[in-house]
Amino acid sequence: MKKQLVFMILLLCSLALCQTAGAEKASDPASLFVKANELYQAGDYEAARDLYTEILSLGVQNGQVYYNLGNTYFRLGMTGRSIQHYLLAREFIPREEDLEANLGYAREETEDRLVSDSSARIFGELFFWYHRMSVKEMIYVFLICNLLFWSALCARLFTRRPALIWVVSLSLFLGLTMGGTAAVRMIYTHLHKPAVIVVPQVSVQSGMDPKSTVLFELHDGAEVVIDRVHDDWRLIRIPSGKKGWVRKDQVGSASI
Amino acid sequence: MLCLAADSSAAEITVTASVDRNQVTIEDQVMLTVSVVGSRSSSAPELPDLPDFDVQSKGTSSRVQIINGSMTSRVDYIFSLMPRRPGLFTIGPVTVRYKRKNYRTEPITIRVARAAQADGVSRDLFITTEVDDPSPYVGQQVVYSLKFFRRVHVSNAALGELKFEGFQTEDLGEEDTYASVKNGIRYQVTEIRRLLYPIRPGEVTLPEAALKCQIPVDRNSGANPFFGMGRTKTKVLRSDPIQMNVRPLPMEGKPENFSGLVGAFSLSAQLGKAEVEQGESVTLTIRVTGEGDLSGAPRPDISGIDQFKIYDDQPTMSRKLKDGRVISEKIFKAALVPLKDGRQMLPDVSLWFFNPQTNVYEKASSGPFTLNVLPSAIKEDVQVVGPGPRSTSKKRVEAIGRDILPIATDLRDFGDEVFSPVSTVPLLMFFLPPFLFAGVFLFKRERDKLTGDMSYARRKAALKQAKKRIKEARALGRSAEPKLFYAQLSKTLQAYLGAKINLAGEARTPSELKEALGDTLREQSLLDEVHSMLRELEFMQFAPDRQDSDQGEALIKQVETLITKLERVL
Repeated sequence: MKKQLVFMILLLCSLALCQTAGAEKASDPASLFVKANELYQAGDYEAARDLYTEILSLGVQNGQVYYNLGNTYFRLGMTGRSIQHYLLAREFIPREEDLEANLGYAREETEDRLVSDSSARIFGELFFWYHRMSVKEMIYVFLICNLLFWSALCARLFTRRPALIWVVSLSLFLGLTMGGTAAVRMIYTHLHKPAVIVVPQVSVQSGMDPKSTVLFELHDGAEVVIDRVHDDWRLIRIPSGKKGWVRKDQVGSASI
Repeated sequence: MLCLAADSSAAEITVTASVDRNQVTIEDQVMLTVSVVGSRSSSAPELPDLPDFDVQSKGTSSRVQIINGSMTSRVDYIFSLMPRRPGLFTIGPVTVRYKRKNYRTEPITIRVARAAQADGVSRDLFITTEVDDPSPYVGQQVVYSLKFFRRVHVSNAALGELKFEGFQTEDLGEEDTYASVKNGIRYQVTEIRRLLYPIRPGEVTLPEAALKCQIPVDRNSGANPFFGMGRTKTKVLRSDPIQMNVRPLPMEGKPENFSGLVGAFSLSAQLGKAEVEQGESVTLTIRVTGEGDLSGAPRPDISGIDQFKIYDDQPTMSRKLKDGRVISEKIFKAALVPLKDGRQMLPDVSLWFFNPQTNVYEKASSGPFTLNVLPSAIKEDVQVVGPGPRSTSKKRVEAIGRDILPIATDLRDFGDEVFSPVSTVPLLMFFLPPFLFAGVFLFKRERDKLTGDMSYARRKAALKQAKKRIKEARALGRSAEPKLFYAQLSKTLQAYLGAKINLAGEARTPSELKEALGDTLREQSLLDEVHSMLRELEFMQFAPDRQDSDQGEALIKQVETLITKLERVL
């Protein structure tokens, strides 16, 4: 009798666990990712797009998801959305060569050939790690250098080995460099919010009124910077310095 | 000039909009002037939507007028409006904002006529566009021709960008200029041609072409003959759009090895030699000629190629105009190396293409070719073992197609990568190390002080030592030796005081201790209490009376209380 009771309890617990596991699996981001990839490989790009978007809606931010979403939008002929998601992926996986190749190809398919991060690229030429590392990686290197620096200082309290001076100096230099670069990158992204035109054609206007004078026109995939946000309107700027207003549904943000 | 005033006549400023003429042809431009009188600090005029015109700002001019002693400023904003189509149009009110008020002008009506209707005489200049086939197949070569007819002098002629959405285009080189007679009138003609290749089926409209130029102002118009010389006016000439219907290639009759070429082609091939030794190469030259896009043409199929090794060379291509048609030629060369001796046969070299003239798939071929392969001569020195002769020219890798690279599928790198610099882990990693350093620093300083400063070490250890001795005294209190008990208590208090005021040795009289304490302990009552306790303990060491354990414990408590008081001030 006792054995039967124990068996029943164990069985009920297993069933409960299975149900929980099943429920988790339904919304498990990794499972969704695998399924979305299968749909993409099968050519069902719209369904794949929906699943990739669902992963993001679960709060998962991942470079591979953004990259795959960029590919999916490219296959759907939405070059602007494609570039937008490639730029978002670059925040997480900046050294991914496939990403750079696909981004370059997508940019060549645009009509306006506008690239918004040209000035940051100049900074990146001088400080090569600026575009080769994500902000997260830079901050973690900074924190590790911080730990090394203080640990070396602690060790210096007990011993005067010359090697410790090198450790202190190098960790201080590297830490400040990485921390400074991460700060510059975060501030730059905050001030110059990159974005992409995601509609086939948009008339950039002088004011937040549909009847305002049209200043110039942009096309799908043109990369811009958002200078100001006001309700449903965005003040955008292109590399030549020209500015104007567009509606928020016409432009997609390319920064986290 | 037509002038239409603003609404509010009693306002500080006056805003008027005017045009130089309100009846023009589609080739003419209208100059719109918005005048603001009374202030130079108003906003720039906001034009209404003008979808039927190309609008360009021509700048501003400002001046100050003095009329009857009063000064008035005036700013003119000038715009050129180039009509896009004929019809009757209204330029809606222009708005100028000044001191939080909007000033609007009255609407202006403009009539735009077609160029031929405007003056009823033959035109001096115009442009035409045409294609040689308005219903081509996908991939078929279409010749687009733009002609600029003129019989007056023009300058600064600039052609607007020609957009051919849905087509691949190729330039046909420099423009041609010649004379031509049209409707009995002799014109100078400049012709520009483009090759278009439709890339998808369906209805397509080639938009109008626009050409802007400057022509001299008519001297007979009554303008000042002296000051009218050298003046020009801008003309914008527009052609009609071209409707095209691109047809898909038929599936019926499409061969498996269809080359993708659309046009009319011929093929000729020849072998460089009729006889060759085994191991030596012979060049096969294939020439494909015809009307169509050959840039992507693959090498024609060569049947019976199994008994040869084949090395393709870089093909060459050329193009020429003949009777208004574009004829292309592509030459393929391949080195063939026979693998066996004897009489070798290449049945034919062929190419399948779609002919839009006959609407069927056709085959161009040449052959057969016969090659007599002699056995190779025996070489005494070196036997050549290897893949055979190589092409001397460096092969360039040609891109055949382009596509994006595949998606990422590696789950090892999958995970939530969201990162905030102000989350728990980064904050801990940032603040914890300096705190730890501070702790270690203080600990070391304390330790150094304890090892370097004996008086400090004794002071720090005094209470701990006193507690230890009191514990020993408590144990002695339960034994049968009261003298030892009191001696231990006395030693405890004396040692504590000695450590606190850094006295060497423990054997001092109560009076000596009181004197030594006097420099440090300012509170007289506490000093007396200490002295009193020391004397009592000294006396009790030598008193013959036995005390019970309760009295001993009470004494211990008194000593502890006294030490606690001293700990606060020493």
